[in-house]
Amino acid sequence: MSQVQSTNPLKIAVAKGRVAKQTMKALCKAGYTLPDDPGRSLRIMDEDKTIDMLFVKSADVPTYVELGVVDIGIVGKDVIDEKTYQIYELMDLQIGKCDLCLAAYEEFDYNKISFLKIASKYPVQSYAFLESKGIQGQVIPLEGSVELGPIVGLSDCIIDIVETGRTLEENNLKVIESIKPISSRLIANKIRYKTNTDLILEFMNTLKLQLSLEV
Amino acid sequence: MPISFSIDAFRRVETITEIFRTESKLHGYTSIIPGSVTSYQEITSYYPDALRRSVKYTGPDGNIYTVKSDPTHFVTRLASQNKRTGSLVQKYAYSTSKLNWRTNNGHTVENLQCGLEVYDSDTVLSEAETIRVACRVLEKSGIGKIVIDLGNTKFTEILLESCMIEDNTKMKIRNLIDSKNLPELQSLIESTNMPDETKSAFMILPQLFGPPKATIERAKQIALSEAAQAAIQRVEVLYESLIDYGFDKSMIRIDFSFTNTYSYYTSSIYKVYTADSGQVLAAGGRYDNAFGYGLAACGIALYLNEINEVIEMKQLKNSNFYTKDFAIYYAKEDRKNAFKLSDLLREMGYIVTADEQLDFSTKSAASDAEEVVRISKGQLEIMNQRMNTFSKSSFEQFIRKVEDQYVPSSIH
Repeated sequence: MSQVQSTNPLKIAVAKGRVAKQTMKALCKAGYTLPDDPGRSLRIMDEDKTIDMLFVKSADVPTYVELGVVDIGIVGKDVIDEKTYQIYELMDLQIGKCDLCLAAYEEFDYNKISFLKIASKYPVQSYAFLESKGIQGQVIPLEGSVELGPIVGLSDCIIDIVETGRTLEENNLKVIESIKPISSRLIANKIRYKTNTDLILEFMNTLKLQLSLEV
Repeated sequence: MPISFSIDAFRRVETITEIFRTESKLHGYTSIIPGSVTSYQEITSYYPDALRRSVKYTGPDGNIYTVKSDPTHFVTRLASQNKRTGSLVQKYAYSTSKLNWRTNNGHTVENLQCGLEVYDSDTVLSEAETIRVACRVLEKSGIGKIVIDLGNTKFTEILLESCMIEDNTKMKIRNLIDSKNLPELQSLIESTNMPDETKSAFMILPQLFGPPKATIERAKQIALSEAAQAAIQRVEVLYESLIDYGFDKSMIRIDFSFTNTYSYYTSSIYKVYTADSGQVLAAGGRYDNAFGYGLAACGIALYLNEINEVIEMKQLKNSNFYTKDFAIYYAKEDRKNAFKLSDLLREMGYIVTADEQLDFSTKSAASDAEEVVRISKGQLEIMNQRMNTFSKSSFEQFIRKVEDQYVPSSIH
């Protein structure tokens, strides 16, 4: 019966944008030779061909990981908590930090509303919020520009991730309640974590060390 | 969402199912067809969370039923009835489909699976045999680099039982261990008043996996009770039994972080996958006293959708995937000979198709037959697709050669 061996590069899916930039910066400092700017490339490998990185939409990272297209992924906790994925959540990378917040106009008080309408890109977590507060309500799922919800009267408030709060401010909205802190997590395919354990642990430790030095 | 397969996928699934039927029969399993409808209450009274994703309906009698939810319930009831007749160890094999709501998009998905169940046997050897049969099916289906993960849910459960914490918190801890989520596990157990020694043991659990000998040794060091030691020993015996079956050491891993999310598994738990893919291809374990029937029980299920996906993704070439032994093409004047040849071959047990068309170069027409035979003016031209050979012979020579040399390789 055959033996299991792995000599392939570690495959990593990273959410495009800020998280990808921070991850690449940390990896470069840790000694991986990566291009300064991947430009519009969706896939890059380091010079030693030890890591193979795919840059994908953040919501797609867990899918790539779950189906084993890649070994590991780096993605925000907001994405992981929105659906049920069969993955391992290995490490809080402490990058891409923000908060999942309930935001509305200044005078808003959800305790005075009998039926709350929330516009959000995060319907699962929004319903969980309603349930945790014991509030009757409805979540209106939107894909973007959720701040428009209260402005056009589609909803009473929004639930979205807030980093600086500038977008909210520009639309006369403010954070009413911070629901939970969000940061990027290192996730792994359940099987690859076991068949590529050494590679993944080495990568994890390198990244952990580099990120802890930066904090 | 009904089963959505291409014709090639259906052929592959049929082939895998046939391999499963043959292997299970060779190991003494009785083939059965599980019923589709089960009483919802009968299952949930034992496993409250087990049917969250199953498809349910209210019957004319006002009771709730589930459709194609859990073949094990049907098989356990059958085994319980059979036990009354004095039957000893009972071994069953089934092929069926399961319906589940997919929570991510709200669709219903139908998954095909084959399963093996053994009743009235509490030995590790029964567990090892189900794993062995499942792996043989996978290997014969063309899947390589097989990896088997062995664990024992008791290891975590014993630790949880020693803690004075609420059931809800226990469930959260199980989920966090299962997803190896160390940061959140740490913050959760820090919020409890369990002893520091127990806290440390919980933090080690998600990382307690790897090569058998080393992992078992590490587990022994944190086993706080005799019961935990017994759970480790059971895993060790299961590992040794698999080695005796001929599995290579590198194919087997131990993972003590497997948890009992639905309170279903009572001891051993195992998962089979291939290093080529990220999906579990077969899984099972021990579920003694399942549904309150008081029987020792263990089993394994092979997930045909996932197995098919792996074969499709890796474009595995396998000799088993010819659906015909012979595709015969003939000109009109050779029709009588072609019919005669087809019937002769069928009587020998071969799968044969015959078409009045001489151009057998088109890939689609002949791609799924091991041998393509063209009859023209009483002569035969034979192309063997497996061996990539071409030959000519007379009618009589060909029959003699088939009688002497060939065995059917298509689905039978």
